[in-house]
Amino acid sequence: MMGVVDKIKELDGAKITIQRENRIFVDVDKDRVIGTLYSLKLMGFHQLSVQNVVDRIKDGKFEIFYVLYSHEYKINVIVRTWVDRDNPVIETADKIYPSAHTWEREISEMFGIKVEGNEDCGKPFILENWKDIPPMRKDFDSVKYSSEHFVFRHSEGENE
Amino acid sequence: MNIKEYEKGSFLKPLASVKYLFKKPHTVRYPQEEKPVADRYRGLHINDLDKCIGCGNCRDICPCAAISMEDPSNVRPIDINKKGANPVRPKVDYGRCSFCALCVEMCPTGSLKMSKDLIYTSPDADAFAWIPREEQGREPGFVQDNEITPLMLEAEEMEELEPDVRKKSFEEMILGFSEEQARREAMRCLGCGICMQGCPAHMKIPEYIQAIFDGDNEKSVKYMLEDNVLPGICGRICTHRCQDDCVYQYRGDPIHIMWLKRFATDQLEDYKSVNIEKMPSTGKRVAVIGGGPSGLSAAYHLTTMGHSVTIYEQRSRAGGALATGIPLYRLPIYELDKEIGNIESMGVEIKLNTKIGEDVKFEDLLNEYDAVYLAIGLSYGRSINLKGEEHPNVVQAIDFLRQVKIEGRRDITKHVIVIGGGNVAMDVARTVARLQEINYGSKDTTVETVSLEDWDIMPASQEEIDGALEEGVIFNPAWGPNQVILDENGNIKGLEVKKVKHVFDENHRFNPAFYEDQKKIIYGDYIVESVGQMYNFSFIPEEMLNKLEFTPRRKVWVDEYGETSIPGVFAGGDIVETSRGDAISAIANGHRAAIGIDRYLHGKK
Repeated sequence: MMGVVDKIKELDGAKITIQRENRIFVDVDKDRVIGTLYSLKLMGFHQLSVQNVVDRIKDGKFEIFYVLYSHEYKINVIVRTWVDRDNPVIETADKIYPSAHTWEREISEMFGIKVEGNEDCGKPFILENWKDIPPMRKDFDSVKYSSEHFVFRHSEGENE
Repeated sequence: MNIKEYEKGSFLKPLASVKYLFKKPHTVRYPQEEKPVADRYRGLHINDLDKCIGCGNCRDICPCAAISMEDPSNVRPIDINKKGANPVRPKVDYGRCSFCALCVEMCPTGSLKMSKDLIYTSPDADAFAWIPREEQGREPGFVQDNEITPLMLEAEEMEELEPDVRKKSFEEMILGFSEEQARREAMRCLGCGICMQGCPAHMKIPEYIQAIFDGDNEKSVKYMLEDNVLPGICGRICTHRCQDDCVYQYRGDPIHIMWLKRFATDQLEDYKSVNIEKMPSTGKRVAVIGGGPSGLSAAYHLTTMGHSVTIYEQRSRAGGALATGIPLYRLPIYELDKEIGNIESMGVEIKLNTKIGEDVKFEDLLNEYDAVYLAIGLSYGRSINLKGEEHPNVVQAIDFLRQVKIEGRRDITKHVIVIGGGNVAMDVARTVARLQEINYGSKDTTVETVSLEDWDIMPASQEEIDGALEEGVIFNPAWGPNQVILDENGNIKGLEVKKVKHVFDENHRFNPAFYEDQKKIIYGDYIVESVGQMYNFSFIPEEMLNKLEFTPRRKVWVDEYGETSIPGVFAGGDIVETSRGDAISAIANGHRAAIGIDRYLHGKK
C-alpha cells in the first residue's frame, strides 16, 4: 500500500520539502491551493491548525500558509503559496475547512489580503476604526502611528 | 434488535463519590484563592532604578513609542553621578504599551523586567504613565535571558601575533579587523551613546560606528576628525575609556570601539577628502610649543579656523610621547607619518629640532605671535632618589624608549630590572624582552619589574600585564626599591627591595610604607626607572614664571578655555589638571584650547 508521504509527493504542480519526519512543506501556485487542500483533506488531513501570512517585503510578496495536521499519521503538512503585495487576492478555503473562515477574516484585516468567496472579509474583526495601512504589514510604522493617535502623558501618575 | 439490560447495582454505589472529597481539586476556588499566572507572564514593568543606567535603549526599541526617558528625582532620588549612566530613567505609558517585552529583551543591564501584575484602574488617564520601580512591590514575571536574546553579546575576536613570534621583532602585534569582522562588530552597536561620556574628547562614537556598518569609511573618519585629529593613532594606543562605559559590559563583551576606529582609518590612504573645511585666513599667527598630541590637535583646529600656526618641537620627530615613547610594536612609524603628515598638509608649519629657550626665546614668541599654546607635556623622567641612582646603567624609561624607538638603539644587557607598574613600565619591559630576544635569543636572560602596587591595584591595564606575562616578563608586585647593589668593580649587581606594607594611607593618598625587616635582592645589571614623568619650565623667564599660576597638584592652572593666568598664553596636554595622562585627553585639551584661542583672537573675551 502506498504511504501518505508518497501520495503527497504525487500532488500536481507542488514542490515538496520534507524538513523533518513529521513536517512536510508543499509549495504550490496560487491557483492550485484549493485543489491541493482538498486532496490533502481526502488523504486524512482533517485539521487546519493555523492559516497565516508572512510579509516578504523584499520580494514584494505575501507568503500565505496553511498548517494542516493528520491525527491518523501524526504529520504536519504546511501548504504555502505566494501572492503579489500590490494586488493580494486569494480564494477562500472555508468550504473545505470551515475554521478557515475566521482565519481569513483575521488575515484580511491584519494584512489587507482580499479573500474571494468569504463575504465576512472586510467587516471589522478586531481593529476599531482602523484607517491606516493594515498593521501587520512590514511597512507599517508603529511608532509613527502611536505618536499620531495617542496623547503623550507627561505627568508622573500617582498610582500607589 | 438486541435490548441491552443494565445491572441494577447496589444502592450504596453513589457513596463512591465520597473518595473525591479527599483529593486535591483541579479547579481554583475563586474567590478564596486566585489562579496562579504563568512564570513568564508579561505584565506591568519593574525597573531597578539603581541598576538602570538610563541608556534609552528601551525607548528606542519600543514599537509603540510608549517609553520616554525622564528625571526620576520627584519619585525617588538616584545617584546622578553614576559613571557611564544618564540621570534619567524610563517612564512607561500604559495607554500605548503593547506588552511585547522587547524593552526587557533589549535592556543592557538587565534592570528592566516585567511583572505578573496587569490589573490597574484609574479614572485619570494620566495615571497610566509612570516610572516603573522596584518599590512598587510587583512580582517578576518575564525576565531576560542571555541564552535567547536579540543582542549579539560576544565581541569579534581580534587576531594578534603569538607571543613567541611577536617577541622576535618590533612588528605591530595587533593585526586589525577584516572588513567582514568590522561590519559584524559595528552591527552590535545599539547607538545609545553612553560611551561618549567616557571619551575625554566626546567623539561621535555611535555615528562613526553606524558609518562603518554602512560601509562608508570616509564618512566615518570625517566624524572622527571633528573631535580627534589622530584617529588612527588612537585606534591603536588609546586607553579606550569608551569601552569601559559600553553598555554591553553588563551582559557580554564591550564593543571594540578602538579597533573599529583603526579599521576605518586604515581603509583610507590619506584624509584629504575628509578633513574639516578651512575657513578663510584671518591673518592671525599662533605659536604652539610642543608637537605632541595636544599641540597637533590645537594646531589642526586653529588652522581650520583660518589662523596660521607654527609648532616648535625639540626632538627630530613630531608626535611627542606618541613618537618617542610608545614602542613600535604598538604604534608603527607609518601611522605617525600618515596622521602628522595630514596635519602638515593642512598648512601647519612644524619646526623640528628647535628648543625654546635655546634656539628661540620664549619672550620673542610672545612678541611675534598673537597667541602661544603651551603643550610641552611631561617629557622628563622623574627620579625616586634611589641610593646608587647616579650609576650610568640606571636610566629613565622615557629616555630608554626614545633611544629604542627613534634613535635606533638595539643593545641591551642580559638581566634588566624595571621599576614601576604602570603602562610605561610595561612598554619598557616588553621592549627589553624583544631586544633580548633579538640579541641573545632569550637565552639566559631575564627582565623583571618591581612595583609598589600589588596585582589588584597595579596601574597598568590588564591587557598590557597579560601581554608582558606572555612574553616572559617576571613581576615583583608589592616590593619597593631600597638601594642599588654594586659589586667590587662598580658594576650593578642587583636591586635591594623591601616588602610594601601599604601604598595608600587612610586618606587614600599616595604614602607608601614598608616592612623594613623584609628585604630581598633582585639580581640584574641594568635598571630602568619608570615611576612617572615631569615637566620642565626652565625656558620661561623667571619673572614670567612667577606670574604663571599652578593648582595645588602642581599642574598649570587654566580656565575653561585653556587660558593660563598670563593673557594670550594657553596651556593643555599633560601639564594641566583636566588631563588624565593619556593621548586622548591631550587631544581633547588641544581642541578646547583651539576654541579658546579663537575666541581670544576675535576679542570675544
